[in-house]
Amino acid sequence: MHPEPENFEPLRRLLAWKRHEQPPPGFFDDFSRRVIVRIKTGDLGDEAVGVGQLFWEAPWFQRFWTALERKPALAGAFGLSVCGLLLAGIICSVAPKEPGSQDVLHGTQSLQAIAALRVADQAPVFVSSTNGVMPEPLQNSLFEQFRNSQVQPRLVRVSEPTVGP
Amino acid sequence: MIMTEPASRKAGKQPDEPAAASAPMPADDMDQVKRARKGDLAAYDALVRRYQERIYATIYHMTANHEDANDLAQEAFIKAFHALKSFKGGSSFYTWVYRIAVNKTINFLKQRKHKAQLSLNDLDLNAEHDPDLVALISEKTPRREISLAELQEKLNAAMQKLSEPHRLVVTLHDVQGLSHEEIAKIMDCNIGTVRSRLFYARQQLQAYLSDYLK
Repeated sequence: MHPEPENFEPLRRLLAWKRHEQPPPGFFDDFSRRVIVRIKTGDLGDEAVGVGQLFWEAPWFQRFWTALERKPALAGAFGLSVCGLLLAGIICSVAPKEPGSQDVLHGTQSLQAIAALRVADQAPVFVSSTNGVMPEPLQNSLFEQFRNSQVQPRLVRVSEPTVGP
Repeated sequence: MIMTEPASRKAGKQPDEPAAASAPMPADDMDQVKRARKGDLAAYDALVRRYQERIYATIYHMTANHEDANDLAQEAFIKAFHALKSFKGGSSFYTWVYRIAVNKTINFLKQRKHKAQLSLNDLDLNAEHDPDLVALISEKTPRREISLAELQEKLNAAMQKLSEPHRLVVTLHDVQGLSHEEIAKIMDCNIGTVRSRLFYARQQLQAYLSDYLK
């Protein structure tokens, strides 16, 4: 299927006129020097692009973006799926824990029990936990024995000094 | 001085003719490429000087902005220098640098398009032909002889409405005078695609500029 021939001559003459558009005078006198200076200073041009730029220029991303631009329905579906994922994430994070999650708690408790046994055996043990640091109950305090001990009165016999005759 | 004077035009050829002679492949290109590959910056400086105007002009006509064209042209040459080791010589250095510059410019334009805010120029052709809008413009600015500056502005605005591949084909062929074959090599597509894009780009431009082409 060949398109009908059209007369583009006036348009081509108009476009050819664009060749007269000029950069500022003297622009090209200095251009190559600026390029060489940048090369000498180790400028890598677009080699030193950020991750965002690399991501943007990735072919798969460009194809995907072009498809989104051309098909509004696809763009809408993509937007909806992103919103759905976001909502699902929010709901999952807010929902109460299921019974199955008790296992984790039991696991932690059993770890603590093992640790207590090891302490009793006077063996050093290190247990890592993400639980908060709770204050120890008072009965385990080192000073408890002093607090519970009863003071026994003690008789002290003081002998009187003997007075000389 | 004309910014880009292709060999085909200098030889008096029509732009639609196959212009194998317009492919600038000086014999010393490869020699200078070899020297530049070894770190000879004087050799690379000579290569930059040889092609700077054509590369700059292509980027300028694509971006319609001098500062952007300056930055992109410099970066294209810097990138080409660092990539010289990967240049196998399968095509001319000229085509190879052109391809780097064109890819860089298209990537830049895609990013700019997404960053740019909507303006009157971004409205589609139908909006400009909206009878109410046309009537409003006619009332405010009655028809008169258009000045060159206005014509340039209209032409650039029309060019910017084309998609990047269409604008590139028009720039390389109708502004810079490259042959279909050269454009196909630069754009890494077949000649049929180049011809097709050129036809539709011209059609679109003709529609945009219909008031000034009568």
